[in-house]
Amino acid sequence: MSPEILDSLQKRFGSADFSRYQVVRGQKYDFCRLLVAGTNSVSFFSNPIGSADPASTGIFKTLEQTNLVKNASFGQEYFALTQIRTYINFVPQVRQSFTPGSNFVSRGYTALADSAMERLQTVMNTGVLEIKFAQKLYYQIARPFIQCPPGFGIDVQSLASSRTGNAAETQVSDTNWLVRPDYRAASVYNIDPIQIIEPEIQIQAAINFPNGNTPSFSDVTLTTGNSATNSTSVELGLIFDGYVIRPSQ
Amino acid sequence: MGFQSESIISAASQKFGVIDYSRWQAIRWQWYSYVTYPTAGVGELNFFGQVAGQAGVTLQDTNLPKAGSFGQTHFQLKSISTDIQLGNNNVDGFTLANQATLDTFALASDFLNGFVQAGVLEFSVGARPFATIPKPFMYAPPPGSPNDYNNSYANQITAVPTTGTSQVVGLPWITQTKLRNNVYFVDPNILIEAEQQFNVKISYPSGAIPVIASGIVNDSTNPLKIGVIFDGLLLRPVQ
Repeated sequence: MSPEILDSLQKRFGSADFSRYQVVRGQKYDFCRLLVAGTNSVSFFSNPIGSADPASTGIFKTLEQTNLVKNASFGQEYFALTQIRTYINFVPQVRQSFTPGSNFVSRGYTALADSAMERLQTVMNTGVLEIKFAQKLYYQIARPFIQCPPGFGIDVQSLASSRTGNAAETQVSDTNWLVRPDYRAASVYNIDPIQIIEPEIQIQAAINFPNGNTPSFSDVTLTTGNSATNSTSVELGLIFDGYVIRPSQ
Repeated sequence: MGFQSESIISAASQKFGVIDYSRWQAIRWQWYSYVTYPTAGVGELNFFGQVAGQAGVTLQDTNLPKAGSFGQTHFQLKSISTDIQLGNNNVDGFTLANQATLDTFALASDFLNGFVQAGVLEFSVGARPFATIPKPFMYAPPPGSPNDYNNSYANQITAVPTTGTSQVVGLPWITQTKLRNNVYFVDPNILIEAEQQFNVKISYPSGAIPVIASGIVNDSTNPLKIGVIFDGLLLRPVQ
């Protein structure tokens, strides 16, 4: 009897109408910092908003990093997954633990051997993305930053370049470069047919590095002018793009 | 059955009204709202909260008829875009004299390492969220093409570099992406009814990010304007 009573009460006084559903384009996203010393795995969707980033305990996740409100699930919403996107980049200058210098842009990311950008490129070219729903494997994608690029970014028309008068420096050491995944929306990894993720389904998503730990960013050079090496923070992201399916209100 | 007064109003409207509510027209339309991104950075910026004519707000900043709603027209939202505009993006400060602070003389700094790489856009109708977009300046770029900047790479500051000092030989030019496909399409479209209250904000809950290019951006004389553009169909009764 009680289900009928609840159903009747819900229809009369409930705040949501479960007989009608609304479909809205939406994203479920999670950005995590890479352990600067190197790691063999980065997990996503395991720490909701408000929790500390596992790779940087002093950093607490806000809506900028994730819109996950519950550990390892999307809560009480259906989600239709249509695209998988990944993200990788250095965190913004002001959020680094050091000041890279006031002429960083003019010098750019140095091409000095084993520099920060070179190591970032190494991370971009490696890894295996594994996604499980209810402990069942659904996606296993090698080199996810290449196969599942973000499909967004900036349009770099020219980078600044520089040289110094120091005769000891070769031309190579003053060359700057920038590596980034594909920023064209048409390049994203589309899911066809779409994948429905039901409410409260447990989600496990990780980028693993089975060939060895990611390079260390604890002591790297960003720019030619950065004679001192720094512990550089890198951010990895996993974005599910698709449709949020929720009851009408 | 309606009240008698409703029938009277309806009959009077049909005979003497200036608008024919039985027929509607749809036209492509953009609603836009630009606000100043302060050089010191900010935790949150709200859009569509002001109308042209208010202090310091012109039609170049917004075309909203009423704060927080589209007034007496319906709007079918097809895409959401962000935009970054600086009135004078001159880089004549990118010189040897400013060798120690070159970052502050190129907006490219902010695209590579600043506020463009962060933030979150929230769009809600009533109190219900309809979009939460991370890194919105990249995820939701503008529908039109930003200016196409180039330079001659002839900006070598001195002919003979002084030992131990770096010499800039090229300027950085970076904009938001220009690809039509990169626009954030709202699919399925969202219909925002007349007088429906909505809210759009871009926030930095992990901490404000100051403008790096403070040598060219000035809040009063050369403000950095960031905008949100709603593209779609305006639905209004025929006159």
